[in-house]
Amino acid sequence: MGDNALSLRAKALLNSLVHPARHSSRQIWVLLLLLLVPVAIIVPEFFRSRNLANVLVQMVPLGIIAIGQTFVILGAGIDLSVGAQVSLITLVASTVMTDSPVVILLTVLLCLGLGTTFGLLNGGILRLFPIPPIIATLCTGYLFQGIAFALHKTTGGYISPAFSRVLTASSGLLSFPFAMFILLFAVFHMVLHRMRLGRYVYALGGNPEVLANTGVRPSGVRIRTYVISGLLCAVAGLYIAARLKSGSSHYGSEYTLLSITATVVGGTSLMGGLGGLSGTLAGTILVSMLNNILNNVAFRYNLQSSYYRSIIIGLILLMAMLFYRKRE
Amino acid sequence: MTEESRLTRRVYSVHFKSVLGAYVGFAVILIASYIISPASLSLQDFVNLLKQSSGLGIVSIGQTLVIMTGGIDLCLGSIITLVHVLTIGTMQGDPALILPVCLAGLAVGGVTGFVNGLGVAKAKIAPLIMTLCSDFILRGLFMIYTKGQPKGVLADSFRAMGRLRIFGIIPVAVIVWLLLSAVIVFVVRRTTFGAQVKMIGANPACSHLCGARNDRVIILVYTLAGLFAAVASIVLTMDMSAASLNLGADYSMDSIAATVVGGTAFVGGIGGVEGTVAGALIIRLVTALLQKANVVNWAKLIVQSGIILAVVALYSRKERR
Repeated sequence: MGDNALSLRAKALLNSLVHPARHSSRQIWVLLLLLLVPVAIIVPEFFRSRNLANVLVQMVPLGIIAIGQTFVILGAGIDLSVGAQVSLITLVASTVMTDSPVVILLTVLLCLGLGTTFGLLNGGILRLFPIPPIIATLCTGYLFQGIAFALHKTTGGYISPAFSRVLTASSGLLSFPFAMFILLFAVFHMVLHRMRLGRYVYALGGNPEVLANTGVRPSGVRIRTYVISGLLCAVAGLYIAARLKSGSSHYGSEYTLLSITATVVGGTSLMGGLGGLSGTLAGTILVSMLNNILNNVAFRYNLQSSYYRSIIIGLILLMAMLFYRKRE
Repeated sequence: MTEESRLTRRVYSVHFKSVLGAYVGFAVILIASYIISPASLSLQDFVNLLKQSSGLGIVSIGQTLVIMTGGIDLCLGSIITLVHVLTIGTMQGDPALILPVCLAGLAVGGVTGFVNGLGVAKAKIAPLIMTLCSDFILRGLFMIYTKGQPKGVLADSFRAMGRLRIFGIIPVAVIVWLLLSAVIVFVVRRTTFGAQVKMIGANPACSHLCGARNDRVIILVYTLAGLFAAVASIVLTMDMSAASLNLGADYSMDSIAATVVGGTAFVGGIGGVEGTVAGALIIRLVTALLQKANVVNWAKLIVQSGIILAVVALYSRKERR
């Protein structure tokens, strides 16, 4: 009897660890390719090489943040504080930085350290108190935003030109930020699909009890997903500060919804345990592409694109939720 | 005593303690503020505090109902702003248009809430995502409507209602707030609908088996939340001389804070509007104190998130024990 229960449990454990529900992200890639046809007809200027180079650069911060968001959501969490984290990092970087290479290096390390701290705080709160992740990160998001407002007196700040030149270097379609994004994507793709931590993240979202039965503390894995998210927010924040040569308390604000949209459109389930980074990449490209097209069209008709952007992003996220609904 | 009734009693006593805690907390902060600035110890100041809290209080009624079902509504602030700019934009200073404009505003709020409810109950979209999407869509709508510069004139008699004092002392907004709160307290405690709201929050499967139509109850709750946001918007607009795109900005977060401070649990099923009244008073009093200290912009966010986290952490410990 006991043996039987044990073997059942072992089977469930094996199933969830050996075959993590890695759903296919084919649908979203096909949709993306299909979308290119009407885009080519309606907005031909989208395919000009200069515009394409633009899109590739513009998608970098969203892509980086969405990697972290995917880890968190796969673990059945959510991080509503990413936008405020990014803003705060841009402010800190632009406040602390000078032209000296040592200070630049220290600033980068400080920001990465801060990102880790944000993640530890989010994960730590969730470990100490049984609060829904939505509420905890909503609160920490407002906390970070409040600190950002407090720092905002020094609007603009200073970013060393050398630092910003290195981080935004580009020639043609190739650019340093895009290379950095691809490298990060490859590394975290490997972490998620080839390393033990990745399995743990899927198990955390799919069945935390199984995870606990293997002797891994679910709250520890959860903290690690939030730390990954915080670290990547720090990288994205540094890049945004370098690109805009300043810091501000609102530079990151749109990335909270955008990163969730890119992740969910890519097929990662908000219930956790289902999805993957390949879909998130497609989601990021889709969101960035639509954003760029919207800017082009709005420019053509002399409209304010930001008014329409929030409606379109909201509708895309809703449609994605409806589309993936039957799966759950 | 049976197991169930003992459990019910425990839940009620936890809730009673947190409601009592909210009122005691409000009294303590109020006394502290009088000690800091004795000049503010007057009936007029207290009535002003009530008036400042009334808009938030009305929105928070809806937020409380939503949170009691285990959901959350992040678009109430945008409903307030949308109804506000529509009200000011369409009234054209004509007293004859007051009633139709207000009814239209209520319809906008109700329909938005209804759509949220449909998304949550029928399409099974997570309440957070559903209302976050609505929030962004509504923001886009009022920006497109106003083109970034809200215009319009209110009717004089409409603004006079904002200045009107019943019995020479109590503002209309306060009456509306307390009346609506009393009605919803009664509904939650004494009607089937109220029992269903609580049961869905505590255990949706059980409530379904008990014969409650979960979908309808949830849709009704979100519709009510939208309606209350519209009422709050109209009440707040009475006091405005010009339209503002930031009117509703803080209300989603503030109403969550007021609800939680008032003893409604995020896990759903526990709570009620009687505590939320004190919650709204506490949040507005703290805001007023920070305003006096001239640090409101950033300190409000930090203090408020700290309060929510502290209260939620406190209750979650209690529930676990």
